[in-house]
Amino acid sequence: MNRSTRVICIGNPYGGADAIGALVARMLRGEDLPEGVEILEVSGSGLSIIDLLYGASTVIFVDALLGGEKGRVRRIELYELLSMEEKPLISTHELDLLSSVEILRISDPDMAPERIYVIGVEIGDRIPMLGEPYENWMEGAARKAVELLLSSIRGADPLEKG
Amino acid sequence: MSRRIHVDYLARVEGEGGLDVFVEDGEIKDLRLNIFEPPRFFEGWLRGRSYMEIPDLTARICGICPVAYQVSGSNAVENAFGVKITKEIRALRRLLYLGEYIESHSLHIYLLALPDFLGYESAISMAKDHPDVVRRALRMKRLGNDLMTAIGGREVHPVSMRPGGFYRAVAREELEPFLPRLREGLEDAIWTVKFVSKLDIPDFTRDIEFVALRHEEEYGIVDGRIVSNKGIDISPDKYDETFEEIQVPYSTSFHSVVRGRREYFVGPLARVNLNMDKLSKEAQMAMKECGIPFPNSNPFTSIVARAIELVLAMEESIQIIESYEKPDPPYVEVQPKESIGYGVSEAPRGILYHSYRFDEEGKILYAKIVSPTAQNQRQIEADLREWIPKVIDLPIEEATLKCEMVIRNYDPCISCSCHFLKLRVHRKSSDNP
Repeated sequence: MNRSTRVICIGNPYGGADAIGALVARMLRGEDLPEGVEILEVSGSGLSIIDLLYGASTVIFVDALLGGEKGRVRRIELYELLSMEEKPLISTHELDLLSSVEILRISDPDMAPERIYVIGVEIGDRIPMLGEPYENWMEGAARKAVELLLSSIRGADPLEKG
Repeated sequence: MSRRIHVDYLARVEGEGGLDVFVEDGEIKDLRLNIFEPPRFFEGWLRGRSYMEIPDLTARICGICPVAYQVSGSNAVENAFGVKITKEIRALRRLLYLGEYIESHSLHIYLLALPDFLGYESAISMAKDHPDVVRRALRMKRLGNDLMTAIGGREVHPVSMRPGGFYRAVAREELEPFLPRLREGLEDAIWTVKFVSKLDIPDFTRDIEFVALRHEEEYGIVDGRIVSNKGIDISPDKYDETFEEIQVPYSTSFHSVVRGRREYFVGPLARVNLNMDKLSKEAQMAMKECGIPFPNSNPFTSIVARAIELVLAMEESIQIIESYEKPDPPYVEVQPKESIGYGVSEAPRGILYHSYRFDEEGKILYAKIVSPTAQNQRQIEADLREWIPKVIDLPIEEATLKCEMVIRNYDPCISCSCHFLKLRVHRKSSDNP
C-alpha cells in the first residue's frame, strides 16, 4: 500500500447529526482531490477501524463532536484529544481510537500514520439517535468541514484550529 | 467493614453500558446489568420502509457486524417472499460472512480478551511486551477486512448485498489474490488456537443451555435450524414460540429466556459445542489437539472456541475461493407479497434474529430484531451471580477485573443495544454497613 493521506469520515447516514461524516464523504467525492488522498466512509469506530490507519502517512478523521455550537467546525490534533478532559467525538470511542493509534505505533511503527488529526463538527449536547432526520444546519456545516479539510490537505487552513 | 468497588468505564467491550453489584456479608443482594437502549427505536424506524432497504438500514444498527445484519435481514425477506438463492450466491454470502468472522474474532481474541488472560491492563501495555503477537493479530484482522471490502464494495460497511443476492458479484480474479494471505492466515489461526489454549483459563464449569444454528451440510453460520443442548430443535419461524423477551425494571433492553426455562448462551462456544462434527478439517484437528475438551461448559473457554472458528473461517474461505463460480446473474428476482418472514444467522457473537411483516408492496408493517448481546445479557448476569462469590475476597481491583473478564467472554456488542457500560460493585457487611 502506498503512503497516502487517508480521510476517514465516520458517521451513520441514518443517525441524525451523527451523519455529518457521511455527508462530508459524499461531498468530497465530487471534489478534485490532490493525488494520494483516499476517502473512506465508515460507521464503525475505535479498535474496529485500526486496519484503516495501516500504511497511511496522514490520517484525518471527520466526525461529529458532542457539545459546543451546532455547526461549528474545528480541527483537533491527536495530542489535543489526549489532553481533553471531556472527550467530544460522538461516533468514536476515543479511548479505543487512541489505543488503535498507539497499538499500531508499537507493533508496526513503519505502517503507523505519522500525523493524525480530526476535522470535527459540533452538534450540540444531545446524543443523536438512529432514524432521526437531518437538521437544517448540517448541510452547511458539512460544506464548511469540506472546505477546512481541503485547505488543510493543501496546506492553507482558513480557520483557526481548536 | 464496608467496601465499594467502582469502575467508571468498562474498556474493551464494543459500546458502553453499566453493571451494579450489591454485596452484603459476602452475599450478592442485587446485580443489575444496565443497558440503556433507545428502546427498539430502530424497529419503529423500519416501519413503512421497503424490503429492499433492510440490508443497508439494519447494517447501520451495528458498526461491528454489519454482514450479520445484512444476512439475517435478507434471509427474512427471502423467507417471506419464497425466494431460493442459488448455491453460487450462497457461497459468496458465506465468504463475506467468513471475512467478518476473521475480522471480528481476531480483534476480540487478541486486543479485547487476551490482555485479561496475560494480566495486562490494556492492549497497549500488552503490545509493548508482545509486538509480534499483536502484529499477527492485526495481519489477520486486516485480511478479514480486506476480504469484506473486496466482496462488499466498501470498507467496514458492505454495500453489495441485497435481498436475493448481490448488486454486484465479485469476479474470481478479484478473489484469487487472497489465497496466499488466507494460507498464511490459516497458519496464524492454528497458532492462535495453540496459543490461547495454553492460557491460564479459570475453572468455571456451569450448567448452561447453549443455543446455536445447526445446518445439515455445514457449520451453521448463514442459516440453519435453531438447536440447543437441552432439546430445542426448531425452524426460525418458531423463535418467538420458543424464546421470550422479558422486561426488567433497571434496563430499557429486554432479557431473553427460553420459555418456561431460563437464560441461555449464544456465541462461538455454543456453536462449537453444538456443531463440532461440522467443523472444517483443520479446525477439528486444532480443537482435538488443543488440550481443552469440547463440548465445554466453561464460559472462559470462549476464547478457544473463537480461535477454532478462526481456523474454520480461514480454511473455508480458501475452499470457497478455490471453487468459486461468479454468480450470474448476481441476484434472484424478488417479488414482494403480503407475508411474514423470519431470518436467522450466526453473527460472530451469536444468533441474530430478524422477523418482518410486509404488505403486498413489500413495505414493512412490523419488525423485530433480537441481537446476540441482548440474548446473552441474562446469561452474563447468571454467570456473574455464580462467579462473584469466588472472587469477592480478592483485592478490589482484581475482583473487578475478574468480573470484567466474565462480561468480555461474551464479546458483548453493547452498541447494538445500549450506550454506556459502567461497572460498580458495592460491598457492605452488617458490621460496617
